[in-house]
Amino acid sequence: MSSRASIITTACCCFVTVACDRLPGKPPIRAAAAAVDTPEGFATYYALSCAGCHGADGTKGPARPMRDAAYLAAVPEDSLIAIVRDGVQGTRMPGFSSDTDEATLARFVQTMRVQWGGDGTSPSGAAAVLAIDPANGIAWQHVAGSGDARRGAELFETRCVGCHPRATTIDDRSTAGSVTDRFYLKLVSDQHLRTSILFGRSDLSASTAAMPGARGPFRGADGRSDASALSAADVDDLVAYLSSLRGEWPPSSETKDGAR
Amino acid sequence: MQSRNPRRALLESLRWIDERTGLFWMLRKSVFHRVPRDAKWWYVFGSATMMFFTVQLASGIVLATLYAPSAADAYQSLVYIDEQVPLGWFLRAIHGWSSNAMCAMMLLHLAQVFLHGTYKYPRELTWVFGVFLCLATLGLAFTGQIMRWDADAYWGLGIGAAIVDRAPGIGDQLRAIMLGGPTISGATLTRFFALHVFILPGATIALIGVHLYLVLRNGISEMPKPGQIVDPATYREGYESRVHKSGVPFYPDAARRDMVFCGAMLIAVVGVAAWFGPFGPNELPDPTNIHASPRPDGLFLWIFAALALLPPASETPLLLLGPPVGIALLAALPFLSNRGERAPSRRPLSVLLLVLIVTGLGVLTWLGTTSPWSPQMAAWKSTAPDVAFVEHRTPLETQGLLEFQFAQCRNCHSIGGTGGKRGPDLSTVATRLSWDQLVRQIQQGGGNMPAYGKTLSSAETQALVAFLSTLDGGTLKAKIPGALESQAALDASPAAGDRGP
Ligand code: HEC
Ligand code: HEC
Ligand code: HEC
Repeated sequence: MSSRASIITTACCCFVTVACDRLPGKPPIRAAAAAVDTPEGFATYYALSCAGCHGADGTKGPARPMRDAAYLAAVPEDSLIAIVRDGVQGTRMPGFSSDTDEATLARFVQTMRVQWGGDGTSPSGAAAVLAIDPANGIAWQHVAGSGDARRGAELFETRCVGCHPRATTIDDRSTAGSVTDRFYLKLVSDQHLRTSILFGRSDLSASTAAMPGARGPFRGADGRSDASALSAADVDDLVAYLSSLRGEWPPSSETKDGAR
Repeated sequence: MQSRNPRRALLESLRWIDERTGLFWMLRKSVFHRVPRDAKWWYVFGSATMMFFTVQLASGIVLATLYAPSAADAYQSLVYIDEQVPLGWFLRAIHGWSSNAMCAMMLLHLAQVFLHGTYKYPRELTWVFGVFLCLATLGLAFTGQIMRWDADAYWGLGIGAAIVDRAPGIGDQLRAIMLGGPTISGATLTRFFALHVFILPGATIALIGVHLYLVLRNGISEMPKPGQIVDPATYREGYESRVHKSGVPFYPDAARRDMVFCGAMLIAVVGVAAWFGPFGPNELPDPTNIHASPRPDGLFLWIFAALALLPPASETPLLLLGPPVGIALLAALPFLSNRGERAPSRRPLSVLLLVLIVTGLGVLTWLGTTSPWSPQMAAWKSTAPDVAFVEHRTPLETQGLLEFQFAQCRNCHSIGGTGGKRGPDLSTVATRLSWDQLVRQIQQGGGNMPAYGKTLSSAETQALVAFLSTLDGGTLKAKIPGALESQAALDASPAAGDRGP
């Protein structure tokens, strides 16, 4: 081939290539999602992955609120990252490591702590969140095997039964339903029990009927309000008590062998 | 080099090859063999199918060098082909559109051969191998859609798994064979990649070889004429003498029409590919998501629609028996009737059958495209339930709502107007179904709802039903205070016996 012909051929090829690359069918470049450590990126990731269970705005979902400054301050960052990465085995908290890499998850959790950690809109406390920590400064982490179940049973009788009657003894319509139900206990982890007792669910109802944090007030068998707060040992014992009703954790093979 | 006349040298070596292989003798025989003069435009679809298969081979080989067949990288490698490789997107578009065109041409070819009764003596085996080719081609299309490894691919696999799952006794094993394990995973992609690039193309090439050999051996059929009866005793003789008398050589007479048609189709596909671009990949698959039903590619939409419309009781037998029986009937067609009239005007039953099948598939495909049957894939983790469904619930009921999200019921069912629309809205389900009926629906599924009996524990079922039985429309508020109402239902249920303290 003459050099002239080859130049013309090359030019034609270049032209065709360039022209073809502008055809209408060429897919648009996929916009990279906003990074999770920007406010928009954080909100997008939360809305896509967590909102279904932890609530649209971080509160009032079936799973505990994440927009809770006292809670976020109490949980060590590593633990939060580990929960979001691996989920909680045997519960309905999925792990997200299969769709998101660990570094991104870590940045997401850090952003959550900044975004929702100190803005004073925490459902667990009023404006000065950390001043009235519902957990009363008690450590968040559950330690397996801690606590005295027998003492927990007594505490439950004097602090909780007013709102959480035992399944067999309910005759009162104005209760919060059983937390001693074996099926319920099979579905949640001890950490979840502890978190619930420590931080309550004041996002769900502002009234005195809401699940209080460790600060109380509580309601015993006589139905009267008991304003004294729980101590760290009390919380351990209550969790040990509830846990003992369930049987072993993580759940036995019963979880897998089909419902009957 | 030494030879002063390169042309001559070339001829020499060709002759050398021909003498040892008979290659040119064979080529000459096939290219110039005589075909009936009246074989007109009706006969172009087979060649067009083969032409598109060649396009698929060529574009597929290039794509295979660029594609990363591992679950972790597949999606990213497609994005890479689309965005980084010069004209990579165009190649993907051509591969995708030409695949559709190949299937379309193949189906037209099949319909034409059926309509003209070409499958009758002596072309029974040509038809049988054609049916195998048809299956291999559909297999290629199906496995090709899996290669995109996006949510659609996932759902395509899901529907396949759901079908094999129903096989009594061996469902689990079949599923493991198909998916390379109990669930869709990296092993599944490896398996389908092997099918898509080695096994099925290899099988297709071999089948095309046999199919073409048989076409050459038995000759191209004449246009059917009313009254011209096929009788195995006399057919071959008559055909031979007619073709000898009035036939024309395949090349250039008949081949010209094939080439014009194939050229036009090729240009059309390239144009469509340039204009509409490649298929997907859509959003990433979510490996935790295998319960909801898929919406497969257009070609398979009718199966999807048929599944949705079938009465639940007949689903399993129809799904398991339908395809094998249908394929067997199709393959056995020439053995059921291999003689007699070929002209459509004398075979009203066949024409009617074809019209019915085509209309049926058309309507089902249309239903599959237009109905809101597609589940909402991310609803389970992204669609927050209305606060009214969270407040005033007992802890067990709240766990039931979490299970409702976690088990991806939300992808198919809405509550309070949000969620998937594949199943009925469940906001007032407690007014329709009793506790026991809810348990049965969840454990046994049916009517396009998966059965959860094997995947949910008794605690999970209990929580779910406790939650669902609070969904009675207006009186939501009355529940707490007062877990009592559900408690009564609970005590009345057969499961009450094994309740805890
Ligand atoms: C399918 C529902 C679901 C989704 C989606 C979900 N969670 Fe959870 N999450 C739960 C449940 C249920 C628990 C309680 C598990 C237990 O029993 O310990 C939980 C627990 C947690 C906890 C620990 C609470 C404690 O006990 O202190 C954190 C932190 C958390 N989730 C964060 C997230 C984040 C962040 C996301 C989104 C990336 C998310 N979750 C998505 C259901 C969900
Ligand atoms: C003033 C009434 C009240 C008292 C006192 C009370 N609770 Fe609750 N508790 C509630 C309500 C209301 C809920 C339901 C929250 C909701 O709506 O999901 C609840 C929920 C819970 C849950 C389940 C949280 C979840 O999301 O799974 C646990 C566990 C629990 N309470 C434990 C206790 C224990 C232990 C005590 C005693 C120390 C106690 N509660 C005292 C009202 C109360
Ligand atoms: C793949 C989509 C899909 C998923 C996932 C799904 N369903 Fe269904 N569901 C349906 C369809 C479709 C129907 C209608 C069945 C029929 O026509 O008989 C249905 C019916 C129901 C009904 C009966 C409704 C009525 O009014 O008769 C209940 C209750 C139900 N589903 C609960 C659930 C629960 C609980 C889950 C999660 C564990 C779930 N479904 C998951 C598709 C689904």
